[in-house]
Amino acid sequence: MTQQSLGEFEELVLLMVAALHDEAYGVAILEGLEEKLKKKVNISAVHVALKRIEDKGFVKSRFGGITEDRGGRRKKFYVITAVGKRMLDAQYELRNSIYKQIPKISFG
Amino acid sequence: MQALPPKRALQFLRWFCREDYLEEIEGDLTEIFIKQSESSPRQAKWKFSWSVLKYFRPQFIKTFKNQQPTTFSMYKNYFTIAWRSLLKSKAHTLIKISGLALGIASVFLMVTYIRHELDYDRYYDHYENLYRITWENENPQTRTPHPMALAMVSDFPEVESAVSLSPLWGPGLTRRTFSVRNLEKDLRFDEKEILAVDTNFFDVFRFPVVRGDAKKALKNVNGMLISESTARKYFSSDDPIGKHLAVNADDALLEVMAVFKDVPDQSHFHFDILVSYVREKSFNPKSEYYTWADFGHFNYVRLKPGADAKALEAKLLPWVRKYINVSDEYFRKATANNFGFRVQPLTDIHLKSKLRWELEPNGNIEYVYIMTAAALLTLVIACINFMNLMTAKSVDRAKEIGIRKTLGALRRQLSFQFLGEAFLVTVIALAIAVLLIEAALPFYNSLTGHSFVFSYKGTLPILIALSCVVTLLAGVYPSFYLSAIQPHSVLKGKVLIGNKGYRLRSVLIVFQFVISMALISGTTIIFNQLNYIQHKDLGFDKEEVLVIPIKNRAINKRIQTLKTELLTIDGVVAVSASSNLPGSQYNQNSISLVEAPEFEMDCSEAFVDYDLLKTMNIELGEGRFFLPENLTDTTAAFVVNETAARQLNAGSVVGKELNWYLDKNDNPIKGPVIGMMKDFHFQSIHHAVQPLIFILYPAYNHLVIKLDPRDFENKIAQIKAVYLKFDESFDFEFAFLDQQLDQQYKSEQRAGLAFGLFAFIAVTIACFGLFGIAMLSFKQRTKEISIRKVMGAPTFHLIILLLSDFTKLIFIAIVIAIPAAWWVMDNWLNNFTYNVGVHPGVFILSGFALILISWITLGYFTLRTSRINPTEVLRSE
Repeated sequence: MTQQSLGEFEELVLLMVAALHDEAYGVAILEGLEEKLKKKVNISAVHVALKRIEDKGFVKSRFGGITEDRGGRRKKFYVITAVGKRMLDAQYELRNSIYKQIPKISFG
Repeated sequence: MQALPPKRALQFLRWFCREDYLEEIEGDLTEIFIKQSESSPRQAKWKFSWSVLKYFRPQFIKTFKNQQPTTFSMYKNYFTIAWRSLLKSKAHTLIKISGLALGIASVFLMVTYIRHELDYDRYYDHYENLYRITWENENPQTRTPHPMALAMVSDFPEVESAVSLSPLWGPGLTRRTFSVRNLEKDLRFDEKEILAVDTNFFDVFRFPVVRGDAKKALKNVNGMLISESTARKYFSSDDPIGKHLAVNADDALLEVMAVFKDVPDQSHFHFDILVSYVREKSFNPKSEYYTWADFGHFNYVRLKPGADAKALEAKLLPWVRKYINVSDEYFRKATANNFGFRVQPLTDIHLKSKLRWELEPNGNIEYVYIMTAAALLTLVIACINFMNLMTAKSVDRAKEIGIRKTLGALRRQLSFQFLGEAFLVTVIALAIAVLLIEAALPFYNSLTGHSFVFSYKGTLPILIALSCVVTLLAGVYPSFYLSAIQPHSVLKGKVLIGNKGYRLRSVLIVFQFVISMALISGTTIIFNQLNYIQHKDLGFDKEEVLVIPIKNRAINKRIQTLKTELLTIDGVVAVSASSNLPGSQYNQNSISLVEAPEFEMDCSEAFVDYDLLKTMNIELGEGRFFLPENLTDTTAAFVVNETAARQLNAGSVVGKELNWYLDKNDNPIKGPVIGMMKDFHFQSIHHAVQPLIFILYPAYNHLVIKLDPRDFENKIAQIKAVYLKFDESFDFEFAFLDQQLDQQYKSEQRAGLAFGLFAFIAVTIACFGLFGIAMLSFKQRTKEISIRKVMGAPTFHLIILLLSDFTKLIFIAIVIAIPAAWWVMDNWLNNFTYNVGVHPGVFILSGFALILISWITLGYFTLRTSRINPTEVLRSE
């Protein structure tokens, strides 16, 4: 796999998965994002992004146990993979290095 | 109690969502819902439903085709299998499809022709109420008296309106040609299609008048109506209303007062210009022509909707005694013989009317029947082909059917599968047929003399209907046959083809070749007859006889000078003139012997000039022909033909006095018969030779010139130069007599060609079928042949063995076809009084041809199969 692309929202979701480590499932990710972004996010958008990054191999998933408050449905937990982590690192590096090139400008 | 998510939204989600995603999505949605419904239950429900909708995108929707394996994928599999089996045996498929395509294309062309013929005279509004009044007696005719139209309207309540019309006749009941000029533009054309009509013409024949007032125009002595195309011809885009046209040099100017839509092709009569009876009567108001005495007009009536035409017909003869003095004796005779007036539906005229003096040559219902039969037979051959090839392939499909049945396929489903396959093939064949039709149409048009256009819009329904019919005809039997196969016997490896299937296929092959044989022999007989017509001795010379129409009546006065000048041209052997020539219609009046005036008979007549017998090389039997030196010949003297003499029953007729009742006049013209000529065919040989009388009188329509057979072009140029000195007001035209005579048999020639073409197609399709069947049947016999070879059978014997099976079938077909073809063709030939008859040689020849064709068809496989290398075949077992 050469250079895989990562959309903005996808990156956010991936970061959140990494941040929540082992406790990341749909609703948790949604709530985490809503808290950080300070705006409403639709669950379907989160699911779309999750499926995409899973297809790209940045996360893997497993089902958890049955819980009452989900109408008897199991949670699906996501964990970041090594590839995903490398991707995040690369993104971070890239942004950082460009950021550093910004001359000191004062907007007073 | 915990709130529940909206039921419908959840159902919807469960229905469309991928199963591997559903668990997670439903769980997450429910969790959010429960959390939210604590604060605002309503909003939570909305949110839930909205979210569900947001999942309705390709990513999350499951693939439905895997969901219903029982129906959709079964159809898909049918299609796949059908497609594969078509591709698997390409030669077989090619034969199947091309046979069907040829069949459909030719059926379509025939149907187009049939529809065209059946669609005559449907142009007028409520055409179904239109009728023509005709007169039926020993010698039935189209024409009836002029006052009859008006009288019928006033005396019969069921007659809504009626009209008299008539072409403008020249001498000898030949249509006059007029020279019409637009003086302003100095434009001049010859016009033949002029009719005189009553004022209420458009009440009967309701069709659009585009400009002007037709009623007013038809009341006016100097008014005329012209068709749209005529208007364009003389006035281009100008408004023709109120403009004048000059008709012939001597006649007055006529004012164009109305313009009507062109009469469509599919009409039994045509006209470009209409003038009023008012005008015609004004020339000769006292003429008997306009009274009850003269049966000389075409009368059409429009009945009230729902009126009984047959009842009206029965009332006419008793009613007419009010106006015409019909003796009791004649009335009794007429009633006994079922003579009288006929009320003929307008729509019957084109195909069914064959009376004296039709306005134009009509079509013939027999050719419609023949074409319909040919269309059906071709379709049947193509369908049989399909059936045969499909059932013959059953060996290949047997295992498939066995397995399908074992897996639980119902017989109904299998039938449906094979019908579908038939439909697939038909649709492909249909597409090819459309291409074929497009390609063949120009050729077909030149053959039939029509101008059919292929329009997808109008013909698509026919084609679709045709393909459904073909699918059913061709597909039903194979689908039942194939679906009846028993799985246990197939899967055990039993040989499938029983005697039953083989026998049926043989019957079908025989049937195909019966049709082929009938068509081949029929075509041969038609061409024999056409050849006979062309070469029959007609009793006069038709070659090297030049005919020039005399359009200007003034020429008649100077005819002798014209003749003398023409005779000075080198190579002009003889010149004469006549009002009527063989191949055109003749006027008829009665004649009787002065010594026995009670026996009157109808007799065709012609006004002729000196030397006509010499010019046309007609043989004189007795007496002499008209001579210039015999001055009394010009007043009253007759020459009759042999038939007239015989029917007058007067022994030697020459020297006897004759009454000639010109124009039904009570005072006949009396004169001696000075000569009797041998019979010649002055009418087409459909009819026996009729009585004919010649009168010397300068009222000619044709100049007849006998040329010696060298360098026509040069001579015609010289003749034209001389003729133009006498008349420049018309176009100079000429034709050779043999060309004109050929016109009489045009419909036979076309039918012959079309019939031949379809016979060819039918035989081709039948051979396709034979080829396909042979291909399969020889394949099954390779082992047998190999063993025979090993046992020492020579190749020649094997060829005979292979051919003999099919030859037997074809021979049976020939034997069956002969009586049927014999009967039909004998009937057709009876249309001609003079015919070649049915010669047995025709059938022997056609039979041999058919066997030869089939051997050629079988040749390739026969040779291949008989030359097979037995080691290769037998090694495998």
